[in-house]
Amino acid sequence: MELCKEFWQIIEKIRKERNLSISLVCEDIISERTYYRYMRSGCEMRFDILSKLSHRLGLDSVEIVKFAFYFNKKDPGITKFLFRLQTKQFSDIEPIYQSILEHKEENLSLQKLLNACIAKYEWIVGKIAKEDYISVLEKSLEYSSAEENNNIFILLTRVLYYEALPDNTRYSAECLAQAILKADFRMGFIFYVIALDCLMYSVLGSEKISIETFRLLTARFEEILELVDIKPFHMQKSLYKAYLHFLDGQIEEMKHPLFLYAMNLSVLFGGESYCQAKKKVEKLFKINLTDFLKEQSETVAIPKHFVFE
Amino acid sequence: MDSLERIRLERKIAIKDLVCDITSRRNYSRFLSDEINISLEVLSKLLNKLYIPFSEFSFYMYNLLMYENINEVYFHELIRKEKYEEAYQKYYPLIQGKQWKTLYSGKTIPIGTLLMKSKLRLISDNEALREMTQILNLENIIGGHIIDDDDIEAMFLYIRICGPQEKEKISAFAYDALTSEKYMKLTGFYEQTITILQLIGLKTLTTKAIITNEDRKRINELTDIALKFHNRTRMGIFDIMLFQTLYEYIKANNIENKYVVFYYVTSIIGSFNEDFVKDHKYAIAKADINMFYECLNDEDFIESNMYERLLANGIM
Repeated sequence: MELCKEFWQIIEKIRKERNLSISLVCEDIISERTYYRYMRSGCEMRFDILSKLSHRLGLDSVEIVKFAFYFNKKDPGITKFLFRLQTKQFSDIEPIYQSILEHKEENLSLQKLLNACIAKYEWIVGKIAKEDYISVLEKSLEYSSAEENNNIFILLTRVLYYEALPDNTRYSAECLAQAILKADFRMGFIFYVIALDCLMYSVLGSEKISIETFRLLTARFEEILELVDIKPFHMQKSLYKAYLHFLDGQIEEMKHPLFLYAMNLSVLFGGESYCQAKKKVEKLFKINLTDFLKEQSETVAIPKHFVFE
Repeated sequence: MDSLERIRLERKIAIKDLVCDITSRRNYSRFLSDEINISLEVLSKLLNKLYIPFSEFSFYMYNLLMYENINEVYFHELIRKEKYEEAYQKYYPLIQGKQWKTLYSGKTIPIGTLLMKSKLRLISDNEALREMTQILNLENIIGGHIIDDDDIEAMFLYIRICGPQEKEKISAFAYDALTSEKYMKLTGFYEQTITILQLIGLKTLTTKAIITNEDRKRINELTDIALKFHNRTRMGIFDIMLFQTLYEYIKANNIENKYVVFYYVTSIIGSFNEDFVKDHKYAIAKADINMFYECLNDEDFIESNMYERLLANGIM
């Protein structure tokens, strides 16, 4: 009921803002009387009516739904928090972190995941020790059974556990990889992509999963990013593609994705995050990152894209 | 309902378990066969049973709509990238005469079609502009306080052809919408739409015939807003559009700013969107390439946070 009331209020606000009469908005959809009645009482609304009224107001129902959830302060910022944590982008994280701390999530497995993410953040910024983070992870994973791998929140919590303790005997990288490949990525995209990225980054340079599984994970990464234009994830995808070429001994093919990764790493990341990633990549590919960037810019990228005035 | 049923089947949940305490099995079947319409309340409860937030479901449905109308999406992307010939050859035949269904079907696609035709000299600029003006309904947009995806994307195309007076109005609207709290942000793609709005503001200001001191102040202010926003959202291709605009501005006004040069170059050579940068050579002064290498060799700069120095120094 609360949800419907919210939608009615938003529709009415937009109608007034756009200077449209009730009769025009309602024509062939519902009667004016019904409109008034619904608006006052916040009565149940049919999905098809929300959709038709949204279109009459020149909008799509998704715009109204998003407005209701994100801008009427109903969203505690879970996606923002997870995105910033994954990309170690902490410049504006404090209010989001506070909001997540205060948020009481109805979905128990999501709440447990949030507890783990809060602890991970606190460990990264030095508020707690790694042992404390691991103990939160262990608590979050208490009572979860093997078949719950189709719950993306539990799956991501397990991946975080693996990331923190790669030599654990509880969850193997191969099993987690198979669970990720089986999971439905169309719902809870952010949780899925983070699980995928965390696992792949954790196993880079190790032999914890087979090359074939790594290949499948990389292909999945490419598939899910097809219509998503978020640079840090594309950057990671390029790193994994480069690594596959490296493993296959295709050094020439490796250069372009590795260049894209390195160029974006130097733009998007700074401080400790940049230094750690640079060190890892230099060790993995046996290169000097700065020299590689200069050489590739000079011989390939600049001549390919620019014309001198 | 089809989407909900698809998820139920994939998750191997029996109908009786899904509908238990919410609705009857018979009603569920009637929802599926479109005999009756489902209420938001019932839909929301069914989604809860599947651990799917209503907002997430609504995006899932929208993504489905995008996939089902992917030619409309690709057509719009090409027009946005000013690749009119490719849009005309590849996607226009696939969307022509069909009912457009994406978030951009009301204004952006029709305006994009007219813009494409005028750029390819299939219709005159005046003819295109006349029709575009009717579709856009500019006075209505700038008179209200709503930011919506279709209006903003349509304006982004409109400023490529409209006269200086309309540009001035759009510029003032973009600035106000980006600096004031009074606007309702009714966007399905918030990050994308706000970025386009920032580009509208910057493009209309930086390409004015005479740039006043007030304009310069606004350019700095909007650049600051755009950089901080992009620092958070980190979306692809928009940085190319942003830094191309800024690079052209500093060159036209003899402003030296090596950080703008560096980010202009890196946005292009580091683009993940191959289609966006292929078949196009970007203009650059030879001396600016040296500035790029100078920055690349500066370890302190490379280890600094995203846009940190540009934000600290400003554009001028």
